[in-house]
Amino acid sequence: MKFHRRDAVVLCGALLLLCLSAFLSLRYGSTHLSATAFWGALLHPDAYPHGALILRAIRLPRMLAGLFAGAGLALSGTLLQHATDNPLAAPNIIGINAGAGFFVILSLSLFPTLYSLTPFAAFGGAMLTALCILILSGRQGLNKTAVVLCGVAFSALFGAGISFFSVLNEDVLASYTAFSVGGLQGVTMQELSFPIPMIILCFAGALLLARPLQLFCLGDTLAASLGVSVRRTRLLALVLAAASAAAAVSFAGLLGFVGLLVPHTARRLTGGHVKRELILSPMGGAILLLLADLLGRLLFRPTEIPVGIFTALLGVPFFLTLLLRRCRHAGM
Amino acid sequence: MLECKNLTVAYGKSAPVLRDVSFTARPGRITAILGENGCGKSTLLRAIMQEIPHTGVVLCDNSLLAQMPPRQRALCLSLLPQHLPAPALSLGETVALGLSPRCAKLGEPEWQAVDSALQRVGLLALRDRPVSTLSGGERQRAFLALLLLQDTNVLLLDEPTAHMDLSFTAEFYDILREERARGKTILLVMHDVGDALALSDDVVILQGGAVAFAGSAAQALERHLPETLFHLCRYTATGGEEEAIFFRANKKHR
Repeated sequence: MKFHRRDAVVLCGALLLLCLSAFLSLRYGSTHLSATAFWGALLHPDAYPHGALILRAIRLPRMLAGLFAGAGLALSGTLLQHATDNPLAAPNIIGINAGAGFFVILSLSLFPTLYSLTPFAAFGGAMLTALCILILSGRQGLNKTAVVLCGVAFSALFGAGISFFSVLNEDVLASYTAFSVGGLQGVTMQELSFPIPMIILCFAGALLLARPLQLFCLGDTLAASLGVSVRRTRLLALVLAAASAAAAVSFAGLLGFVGLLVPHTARRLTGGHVKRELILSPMGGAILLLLADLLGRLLFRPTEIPVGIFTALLGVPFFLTLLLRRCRHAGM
Repeated sequence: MLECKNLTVAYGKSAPVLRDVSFTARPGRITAILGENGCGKSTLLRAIMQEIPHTGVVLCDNSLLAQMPPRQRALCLSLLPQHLPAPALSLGETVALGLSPRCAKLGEPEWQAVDSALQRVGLLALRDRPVSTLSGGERQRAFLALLLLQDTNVLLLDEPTAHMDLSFTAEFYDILREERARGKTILLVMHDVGDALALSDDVVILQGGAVAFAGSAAQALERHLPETLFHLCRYTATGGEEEAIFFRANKKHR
């Protein structure tokens, strides 16, 4: 694929914006740190122990959580949309989020005192749901429609399960609501020690799949006639998408919006080049989540608004502007 | 060369869509697959492409297609499907995907090959336009360019002229004749019996999923097979020094 100047501008712009968002996420928070205290804590942590503690224990894990949750969910959405050739495919649409949610509410109901089980329940639930979808749709030759329909069916099933446990055990509802809205408060480095390498691995795997996935834009028949093993590529893409989303929801909760609209935006900016999209989409997801989290922390300080609310408030206008501009260009 | 031996396709427990289909498409010849709607023409192409479960064997240049890895298969035979996608990529980038079984990175010579293929189908001026903005006929020409770039010994084409205008249809037939002259094996599914018989060297006629006739196009005409099998009326038109045969539906039979 030819690399145009526009592609370089988009990728460099996204990288700059990502660095700026990560810096702002470290710089500002509910506790005010003066410029001197911030740079001092960063460069001479021994001289500024209070600021260094805030940076090390709160803001750095939170920044990394936002960065990798956004990247993981956007990567998952991009992979799902290409693997199923469906612009509506996203971790929350094909049941991965619902599976995670169901197992979280199940663990909260069965072990109400063991809140630390939540990330494991979320990760296990998401992966188990993905496995069920793959096994069932695998009986239909891993047909892309079968994958989406199985996912939607599991989403409905787990949604009913979540409602059932919420009605049965109202005490767990508050804890579950916090998880379902999604947020990055109180994330520790320890909680990130498994999901971050997992998301990095998924990203590397996705880049290796970029070439066969590019041929998916021609449909299964043409992709196969051009030498792609359609079933194997789709299976690998779905496994990577599920693992990436499961890792992200395990510490950030059910942030559905990122995995649906960020890949769309990335696709519009990259003109259908899968490899560039696989790079831009995680960057876009990370930027959106970092900025949304920053707004959530700063706007009503000291009260924090969950990041899931601001991802929609920031992302929807941007996405709609892009969509309308495209429609105007196409004369629609 | 493409050989199909005893190909049978059945979906579930229902009656087979294709029954014991055997024929050979030879190099340097155009073989047309003819038959009425639902007789299994497209299913036959899908079975040859190993896309659907089937019994029997398909040999491409004496190698079993079912045992070939997908990449090797893509170097042996290529397909122009009936329903074409409209990717967001530009026309040039889409056509360049035809080179993907052969090379991972595209350099200047490869892009020149893309331009030549686009020139051949008359779309070079539209190289930077997204495929999604092209008309149905232009898309058919675009994917023909992709097929030419894939450069396999065996070419399968499913209703390739369905959306083409008359002037490019004639050019398209010339391209097929050029490919035939280069020794390619061309298997063509077409609805227009007159065009198919005029263009092709050999004909396979399917009826109810089985082979009703396999032989040369001249033999099919001599035996009046379009008239007897498809209930068509034959007309002959003369223009200058050329004589053309075309067929119309027999109203009496309707």
